[in-house]
Amino acid sequence: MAAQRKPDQPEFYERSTLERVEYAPPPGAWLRNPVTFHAGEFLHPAKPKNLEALGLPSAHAWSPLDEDWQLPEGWQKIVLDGLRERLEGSRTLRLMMDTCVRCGACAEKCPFFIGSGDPKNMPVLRAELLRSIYRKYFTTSGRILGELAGARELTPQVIKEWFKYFFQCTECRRCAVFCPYGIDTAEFTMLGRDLLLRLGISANWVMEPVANCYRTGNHLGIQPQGIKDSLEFLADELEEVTGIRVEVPINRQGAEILFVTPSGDLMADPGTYTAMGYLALFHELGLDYTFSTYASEGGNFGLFASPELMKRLNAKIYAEARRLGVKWILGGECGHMWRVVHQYMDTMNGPADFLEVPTSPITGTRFEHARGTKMIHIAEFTADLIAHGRLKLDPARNAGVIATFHDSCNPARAMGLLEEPRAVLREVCRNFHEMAADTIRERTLCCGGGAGLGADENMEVRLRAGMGRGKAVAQVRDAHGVNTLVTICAIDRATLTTVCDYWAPGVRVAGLHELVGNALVMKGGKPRTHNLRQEPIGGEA
Amino acid sequence: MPGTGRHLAVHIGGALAAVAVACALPALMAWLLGSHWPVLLLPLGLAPLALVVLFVAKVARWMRAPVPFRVPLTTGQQRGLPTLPRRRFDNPHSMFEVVIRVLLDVFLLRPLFRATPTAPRLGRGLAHGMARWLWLGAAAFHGALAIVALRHLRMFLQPAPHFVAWLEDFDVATEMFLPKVHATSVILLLALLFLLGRRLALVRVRTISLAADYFPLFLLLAIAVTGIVMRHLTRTDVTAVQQFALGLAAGKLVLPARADFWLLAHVFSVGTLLVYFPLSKLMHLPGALLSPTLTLANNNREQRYINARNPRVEVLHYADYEAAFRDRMIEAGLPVEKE
Repeated sequence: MAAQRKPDQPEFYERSTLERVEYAPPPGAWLRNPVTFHAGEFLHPAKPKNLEALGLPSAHAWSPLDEDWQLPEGWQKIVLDGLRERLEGSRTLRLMMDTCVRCGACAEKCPFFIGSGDPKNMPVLRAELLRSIYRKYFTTSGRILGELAGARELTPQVIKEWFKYFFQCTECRRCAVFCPYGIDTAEFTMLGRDLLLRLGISANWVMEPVANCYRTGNHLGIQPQGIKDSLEFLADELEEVTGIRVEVPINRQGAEILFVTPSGDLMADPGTYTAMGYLALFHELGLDYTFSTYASEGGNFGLFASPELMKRLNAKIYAEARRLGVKWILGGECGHMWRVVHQYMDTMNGPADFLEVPTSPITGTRFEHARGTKMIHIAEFTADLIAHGRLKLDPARNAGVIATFHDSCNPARAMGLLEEPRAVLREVCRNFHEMAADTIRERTLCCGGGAGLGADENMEVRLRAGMGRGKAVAQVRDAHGVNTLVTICAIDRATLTTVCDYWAPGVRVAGLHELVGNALVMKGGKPRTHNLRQEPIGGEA
Repeated sequence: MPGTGRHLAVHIGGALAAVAVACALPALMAWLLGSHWPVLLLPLGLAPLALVVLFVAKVARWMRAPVPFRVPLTTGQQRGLPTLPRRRFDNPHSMFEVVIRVLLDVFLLRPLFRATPTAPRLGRGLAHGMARWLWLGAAAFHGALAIVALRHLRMFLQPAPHFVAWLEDFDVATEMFLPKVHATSVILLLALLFLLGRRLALVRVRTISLAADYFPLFLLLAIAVTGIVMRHLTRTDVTAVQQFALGLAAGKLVLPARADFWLLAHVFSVGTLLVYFPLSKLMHLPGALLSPTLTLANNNREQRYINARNPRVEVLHYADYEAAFRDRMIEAGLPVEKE
């Protein structure tokens, strides 16, 4: 039966085959092992039209399965010039090139190595893929001693290897937690992808969202009227459940708050239920807010391509906040969006001196820790409401839910947003069980589909990388009957659904504010008999 | 596995050969020159100078490069709502907290201590049972090396600082075996052997190891062994070298009498280590203390971080966006700026 399936479907893969991971590296020194590609482990190449839409160089048609990738004229110079530029522009990279002692502490911490056993998925070797070139062209010992110094020539084979392994990393930064020098593999992966992009080599699953977002304001390429239709549809659905018609303000000048969330939550289940949760909450609070169609994307796939593209996409958020004249910005549940907002936005596109310090109009709390960027996370906002007892919640409406919480890599390791979602979750759901300690909080295991890896054509890689998380979920499912994995990331909601169906069947994925929306007691309307998924309450899963 | 064999042969062979040269070269040079002092001049006179110059040059090279973004790694609850307990030294917000975090991470090797075997849940192959052994081995090695190095200050400082004498007393008090050996010497030797053994025994660590990883281990082993031999077996008289070194420090050339093979090998290996240090991964010492992921405060949303090279980029302005979709926006009843 499996034979009729295709490599982009989870059913194609036998669990017992994926579980049988061989951790002994294949023979041969890794520096010389040729790189191969098979269906199910690589992303489709970026279509030239998407690179051209962004004015990027070297757009061309190629395939990972081709012998010749049609690299542009003078490609080695392009790569080495790019590497020099980045090295001169980043102390972080310089240190990370020079200080690694190859102790191997990171090796089996990587979800991709855990699930594949491929030695080049050890973070240390992923970095060595770049370091070996750095040594050859930028250090004296590498130039003279060559292989003995761990240096090697820049050949087309190296480019292929970079494409394979820098798109088998979700930039989740779990390895860095265990590195004595805090070496951050995400920096290497970002550098590698940036250099590849200069050759026209990238993944379509990254570059199409970037091109879409640049043109329409969101990754999915939804035009303004489409955003309105989607939100109105969600309002209809919410009315079915609650009997209350909520207003959906869009592009409204003079609103107090601009709300920005990943566009995926407007279009695809189960993210849509989270979006309905937002609508219910904002209505009940009487919040003076607006969505935007121009800045209709919280996420930022530019982060997965190059710093410049990240800045180009991110610029819309502050620009729109200024145009609409809002006071501050509220951000929805999203992982990498918050990496960009928290660590890059103010530096790239600030200062946000035209905005005010975020202040909850309900509780009066001034969020001083966001007084520079002027943007707070919805989990912070809701946790503050709960701490002040300003929400009427009925957790019995989530009675059928036995929850566990998946920390998304970016809020966990780039912000430390660990307790806010838990504080909310405990109030809206009575049954909550943590997964094993070394798979949550700062040590959380990755969904396997972040950083532009959430496509179908690389399904084998996703299932392998999600194995660690999936098994940790299965463990609490078996021990406590957990049936719902709660998460605060739009990519998680999409990719962990696949991971759970495969590794922990019977567990489904929900956003935090989906459960908030269920539990929220609203004025007026009808008694709730169904949850936001329109299932009878108590009868979930 | 022919490729693996070749990889090991190249990198272990290269490292061993280099250490053998470092040990044998001084005796050979002394024999050829018919004199010891020019040989000793290299490790005792030039090597410390080279260390300082190259070390400063390397760190200066690092520091010249800007840090474009503030991207610390957070390993605990942030400073946010006052009701939530934060982890100050895992997720530092102020300079003081950053300093404590770095001290904990670098001097207690906290990241290595975090390692827990994820293996039981994930099946065969990953269970290597070495989770915190690396922490123990690394801590033992660095601690013992630091004490041994400080103990040697009495060779170069007259009078030696009090703490050196104290260290000596401590070591003497914990001497073990017969003939008596300093505890730190034994720990240093065992820790080096452990680190080397781990590198060779764990197949994935063996895969990633290069000559640059074996060489410092072999070199330190050579230093430790020659040192222990001199102190406990040959009872080599080091006062001649001491006088020579003290003389150099005072800018005078006090010519020593003969030095034996062990002493030449020991001193020359140390000199090699000093020169090699700033050129190699041993720079992880300053590297860890400067690592932006550890040394930056997680106060991004509170204080704007300035990137002096913040590049100008092309963006799609709202006016162009509205121009592209205006008809559809009007049709959908969405507000527009230009009718």
